[in-house]
Amino acid sequence: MAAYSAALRELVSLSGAVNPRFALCDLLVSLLPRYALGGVRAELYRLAGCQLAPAVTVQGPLVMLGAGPATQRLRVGSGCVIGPSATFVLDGEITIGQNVSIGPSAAFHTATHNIGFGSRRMQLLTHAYAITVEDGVWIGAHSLVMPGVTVGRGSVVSAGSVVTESVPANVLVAGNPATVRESLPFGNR
Amino acid sequence: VIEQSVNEARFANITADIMELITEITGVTTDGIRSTDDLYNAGLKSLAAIRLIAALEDRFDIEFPETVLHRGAFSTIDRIRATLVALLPSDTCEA
Repeated sequence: MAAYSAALRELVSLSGAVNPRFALCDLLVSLLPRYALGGVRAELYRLAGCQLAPAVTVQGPLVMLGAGPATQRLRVGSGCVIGPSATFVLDGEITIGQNVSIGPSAAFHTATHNIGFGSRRMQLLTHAYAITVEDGVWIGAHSLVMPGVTVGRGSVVSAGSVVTESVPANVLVAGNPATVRESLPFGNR
Repeated sequence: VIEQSVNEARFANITADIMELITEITGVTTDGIRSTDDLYNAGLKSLAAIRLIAALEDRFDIEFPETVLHRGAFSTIDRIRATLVALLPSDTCEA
């Protein structure tokens, strides 16, 4: 019962919590022309609390969710390009390395829930597991990266993949669930 | 004249090597492909192209600088040959 009411409180706080600074930045970001002014958009997300290194390009509005100081849990290395409508569910930390390319509408979910009774299958209590994307990775459009996953350096996640388990370095994965299809050359260059 | 024919033989070998590697990597024979045909139009994908580049490095014991790693430098057999020749040391050309 105590756990249930704690979860209910969390849900209420989630739906009610609006970070004014993020809301303002989000509004300004949505006014910028898509695919243009990627550096300006990145600067606005920095103001919203995201830890974006210099030379990060954000090509369109992002979706960011999560309890508490969610935006502060997103860390992105220099040289990254993030496509429009990429989604970051930031109940846990999401760490993106350098020179990572993230396709349009790719989604990173750190949050999950236990399965409950039939009257409400998704238990309200959130469990968060950090996601790490190492240097040089290419995440294809509309891919889904699930909680706790690490994508190894220099790997490619094909468009529309659902990455449920960690991916080694310098491979190409595809499918749902994503599996290794190819190893890639030039891993050290 | 002798030098010219040596060069021609050398280029012929390089072309044959390139065609052999293309077949090895893509599984497609190069019989109907002219040396000026666009390989990407013929179905070469970027993943196969990067494998081809790695195989060329192994075969010719060279390292392509990042400046030549663009589509244009590897789009036809002739262009691949030109990219290679520019990197090969002149005294090992007959090998």
